[in-house]
Amino acid sequence: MNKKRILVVDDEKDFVEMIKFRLEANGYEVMAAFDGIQGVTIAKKNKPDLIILDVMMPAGGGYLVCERLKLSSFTWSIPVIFLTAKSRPEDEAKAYEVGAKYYLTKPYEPEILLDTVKKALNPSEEDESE
Amino acid sequence: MKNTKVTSNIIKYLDEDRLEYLNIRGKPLTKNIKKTNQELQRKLDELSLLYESSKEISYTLDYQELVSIIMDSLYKVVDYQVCASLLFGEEEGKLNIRATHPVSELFIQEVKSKLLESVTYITGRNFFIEEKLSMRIERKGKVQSEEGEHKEKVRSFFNVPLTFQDKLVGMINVSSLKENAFSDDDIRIIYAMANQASMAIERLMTIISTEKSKMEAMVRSMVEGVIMIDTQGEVVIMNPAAKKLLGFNPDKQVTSQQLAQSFQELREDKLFNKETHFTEEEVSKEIYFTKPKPGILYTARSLVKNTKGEKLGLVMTIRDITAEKKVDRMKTEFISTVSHELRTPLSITREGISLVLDKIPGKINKKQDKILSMAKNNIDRLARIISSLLDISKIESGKVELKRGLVNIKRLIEQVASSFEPKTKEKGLELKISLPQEEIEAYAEDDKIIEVFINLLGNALKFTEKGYIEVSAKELENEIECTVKDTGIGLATDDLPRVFGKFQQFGRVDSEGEKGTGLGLSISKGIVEAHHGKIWVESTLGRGSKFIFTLPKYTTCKELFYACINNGIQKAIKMNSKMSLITVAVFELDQLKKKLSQHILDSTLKDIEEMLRNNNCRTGDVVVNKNNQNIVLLNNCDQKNVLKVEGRIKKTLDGYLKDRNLTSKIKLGFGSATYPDDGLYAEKLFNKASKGLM
Repeated sequence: MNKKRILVVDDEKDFVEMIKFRLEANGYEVMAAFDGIQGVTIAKKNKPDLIILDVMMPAGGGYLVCERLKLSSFTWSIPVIFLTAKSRPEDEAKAYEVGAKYYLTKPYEPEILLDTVKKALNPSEEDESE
Repeated sequence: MKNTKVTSNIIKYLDEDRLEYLNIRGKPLTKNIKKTNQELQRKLDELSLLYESSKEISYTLDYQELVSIIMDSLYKVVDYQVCASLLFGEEEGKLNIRATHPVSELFIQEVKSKLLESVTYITGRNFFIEEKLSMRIERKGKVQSEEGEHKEKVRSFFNVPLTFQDKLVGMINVSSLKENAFSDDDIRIIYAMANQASMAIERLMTIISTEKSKMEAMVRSMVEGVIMIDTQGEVVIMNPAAKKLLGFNPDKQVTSQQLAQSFQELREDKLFNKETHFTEEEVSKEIYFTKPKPGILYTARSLVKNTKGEKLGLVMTIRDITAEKKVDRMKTEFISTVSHELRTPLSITREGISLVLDKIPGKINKKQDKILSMAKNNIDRLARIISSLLDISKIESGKVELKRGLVNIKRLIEQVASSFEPKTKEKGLELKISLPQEEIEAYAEDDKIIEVFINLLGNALKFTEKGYIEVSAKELENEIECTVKDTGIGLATDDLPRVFGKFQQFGRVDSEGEKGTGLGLSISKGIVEAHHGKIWVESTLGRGSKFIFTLPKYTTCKELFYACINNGIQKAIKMNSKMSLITVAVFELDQLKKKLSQHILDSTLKDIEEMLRNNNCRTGDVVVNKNNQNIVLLNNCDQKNVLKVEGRIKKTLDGYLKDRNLTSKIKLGFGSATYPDDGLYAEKLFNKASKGLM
């Protein structure tokens, strides 16, 4: 069985390590990028099944990265989960505007993260759609 | 200008000493004259009050008033048939003739000519031929027949000069049919009266002038700009600060046209001109300007009325808040940045501990489990403190934007109480709820009020070992009062004032529950006060506590709707966008109550409200319902769009009624209005949107 591949884009190396531990323990393969440009490059090259995106990053914040991904034919169909410390409703609204599928805040509850990852990777299992 | 007592003391008219001095030739002054003096004093007090309360904006002395007072008082002292006064203005003369008895036209003409004669002689101005002589004649009774006319002669008269600041400003003539009607004494006293009155007014004028210059100096040196226009739109007051803020030369006059143009350039033409709706409403607005440099002005406008309640004009204060706003933005960004900075290491630590606890890198022993579990709990506690701090910052910097609506307090309390039931039972406590029969509706944000109740109930639970916790609410005259009472350990009197402070925790927490942040009550206070309510505590050590808070209530449709619409207007102003509202009402509710069952009617009204809510999936759009009326507030919506939305709503609701065969029984009314096109105030917008409804 093919492992689902997740790209995590966040400038905090420790954070990426932790989430990698968590995701790998649940059977996912994890790629990492530490800034916006790297994120877009790796996504285009490797076409992951899911992208987990931070907002505050150098070389293009999460919103910009998401916009770019949605504009490129290589990556527009990859579901994006925003995972950020920014928690205002405006921030969340903006994320959806640029095409995010889900929005989670730090610190995250591991079960919720895993649940959301599952939902994002298997949209047919969702109960409700827009 | 609030020194009535002082001025009336200064203006002591004829005091006892003066009266004695005028006791001429040993003749005691009659009671009559004494009484007259008192009345004159009273009248002068009235006059001074009049000027003190700034009857006229321009502070001009109305000599006419003065003359009237003197003429009235004269009548009590002296017996005359006609009294006339002539005041010489800069341009015109004002002649006032008052006849206390019926007299012939001839008599009056004679009085007039005698007066004009003496005045012409003294001033050198020929008032006989002056065209600019405005005349007023007051008569009592009819003129006598021509028969007795020859009898009607002015047989005695005298003239009293009126001076003001050593200038002759007028003359009073007193004339009588009788011979020797006026004795020397009379004349001397009258002269004294007139003189005294003049002096009193002079003193008054000096005081007014001093106060006026104080006022002028103050207005001139204010940092805030002040502008006042009268009902014709003319500029009455405009201080240098206001001129500077609007881009004018502070040393030059600004005309009303220039002012109007200035507001036009700021795209606020309707804000401050003679066409502006002169209502009671105070309007404050933030205006963005681009020259000379981009910035923001804060303006506050209100109506100017005199003591009689007559509208005199509009006044506006202006302040440059560009710097303040910048600091504000920085504060918000700081809060945002700090919270982000704190949360990232927090989440890394938490996940790290979780991973080890979940045995992902490998097995752990019991001791390791215990230690790491404690660590995890405290990380969570840290997270809660950070969130609470964010909340507090937001509340204290006034950044909390409440999404207020009608809140059913009874339902809310029942909801929160039921969630506390299991824990209360566990502790062996009784949870009492006491609510009245009638519905209690507050104008609030339900989630926030729930937060307050959760905080208060949580505290009650924490600090009560035996007895009960009681939650209650009641409707008072002007507000809703909610109470959470417990039979717990209570608070010491010394601690009472600090209980709502930040990071205050009192009493040992014996239970093993979550440790608090010490910020709960502080947040609750912030929430209650953001709703314009009050929160306080009554408690004695060892005998339990009672936490009480109030919320605003809205009993009438209009108040509630106006408040909601005003919120929408404020938002629109902030975001520099348009706002629209749609009203949907069910007609003739009373008739319907007879035609349909309560159940059907209730469920229909509920469904209508529900459908309106579902129709608006944009964040920020608000639906407010009260009985049979609903208003829908749409942010960022102009006239074109609101009509579209209205149409959509109509279709949905018509369809609903059709499905339930209610089309013939229930009639709905619709209306809409847009800010600022249809009006600048809630009242106007609501009226437009409700035209044709209820």
